[in-house]
Amino acid sequence: MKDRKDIADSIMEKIERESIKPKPRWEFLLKNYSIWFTGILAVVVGSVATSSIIFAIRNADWFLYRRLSDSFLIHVFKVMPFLWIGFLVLFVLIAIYQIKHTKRGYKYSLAIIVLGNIFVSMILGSVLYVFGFGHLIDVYAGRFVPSYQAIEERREEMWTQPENGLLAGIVLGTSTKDVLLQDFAGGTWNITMDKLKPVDVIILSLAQEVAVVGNVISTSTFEACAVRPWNIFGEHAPMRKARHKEMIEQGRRRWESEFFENDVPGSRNPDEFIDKVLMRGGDVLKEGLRQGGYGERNLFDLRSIECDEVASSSQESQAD
Amino acid sequence: MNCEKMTDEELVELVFENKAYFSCIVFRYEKKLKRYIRRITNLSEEDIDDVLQEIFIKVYTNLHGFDTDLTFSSWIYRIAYNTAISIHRKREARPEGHMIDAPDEVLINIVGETDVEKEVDVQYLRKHLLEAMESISQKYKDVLVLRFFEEKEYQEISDILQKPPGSVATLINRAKKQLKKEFIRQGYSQYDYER
Repeated sequence: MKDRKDIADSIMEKIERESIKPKPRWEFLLKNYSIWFTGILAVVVGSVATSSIIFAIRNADWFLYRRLSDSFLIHVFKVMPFLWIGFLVLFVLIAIYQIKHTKRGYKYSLAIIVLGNIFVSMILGSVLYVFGFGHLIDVYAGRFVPSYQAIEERREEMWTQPENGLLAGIVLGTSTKDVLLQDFAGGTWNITMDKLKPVDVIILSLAQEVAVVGNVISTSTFEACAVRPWNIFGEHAPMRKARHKEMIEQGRRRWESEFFENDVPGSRNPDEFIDKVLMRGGDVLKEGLRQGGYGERNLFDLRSIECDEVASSSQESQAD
Repeated sequence: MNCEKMTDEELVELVFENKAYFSCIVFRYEKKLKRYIRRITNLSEEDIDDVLQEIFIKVYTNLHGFDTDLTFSSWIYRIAYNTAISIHRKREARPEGHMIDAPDEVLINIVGETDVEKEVDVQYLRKHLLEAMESISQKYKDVLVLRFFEEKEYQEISDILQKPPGSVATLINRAKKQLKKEFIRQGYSQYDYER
């Protein structure tokens, strides 16, 4: 009993002598909140990285890997967003560490925390991707991160290889036999439509921007074998608007002359006009496909990436 | 100061009003924690008193951080475990508890849990079982000490060691298996074991 009293006494004496006081409650609250805040922030940053990963993977033009790379693996290596994957891993690790250090963190196994974290990042990242955050982050990274090439820019470069049969750009005008196209590098091309299927002709005639697979016939003539509308998957809507606004300002917008002839340019509200143009552009293409008896499904998939295949198949159909 | 009938949580609230009530907490846990530290470390009695003092000072300074979702007992054991292990590691020695005050019923209880025949000589059992306990990994010893010597429930062990309850159950199962192996290796023959 004496022993017990001695220890209690010595502790109470020490508390008195050294004026030891309980730490204030706010210190614990602050610590707790900062752990949660950092953890949630890490999950959000991880989700943003996920949206950029989805954006990169979705816009990797997988079906073209034979034209663009020696093998599928090399293509994977070329298009994989390693920076964002690194970011995701880093912030998932930070989030796991923070979650483990919350008051209840120890109750959950590491596997549950890791899988839960990845699951949340995937869900939130997918939502962010749908709303165009992957695109937005990628564009800003392209502007501000040294040696980072934005995916949009990389794709435009990738599709400006007429010598390899790839060409994309803005349709400036159409006739019954060919189309005038300005590629993303500023070059002008006549695109011939002889080898195209009817659905490709509709796309080429009505879409504002197109991607074309084919062959260079002469210095400024390109024989198209397959066409699809140029599309950025997971595109950030305000950025698309800005891009089209720029095109209109540069006079490269086909809808302006074809569908808004009665508008008085000076009286237009620019934002409303662009909204109208974007909506109208999509509607025109959809309507064209509907009238031609084609669905919108797989609209952005190229039906063929080899001219020969198209040529032989068209020969076969003629023979039939 | 009469505080015997008060709960730990009531005492904590009273300490904020009058620090003298903290001595009641010290009285209540001093003996238990001293025994616990002795079991999980190989510190001398003097050192144990120092560790004990450090534990109670930590408890006092962190009283506002007491998580009322836990029992006070789990919270104070957690501080005791972390402090004792941390001091022990600083001294770069492998924790080797003394186990000198294991009551007979505790030994019988462990034996029952490890499927070893219960009807054996207690002194014989004490010698081999305690030797086996000294030989197993620290993580296994930590859970066995809490489960059988401190008689804590799985949830309490989870709260004290800050491990998921599922991991505690797994650790205890593995610990019992390792203990059984060591028990036999230490001289408690297979014949005795199967008797």
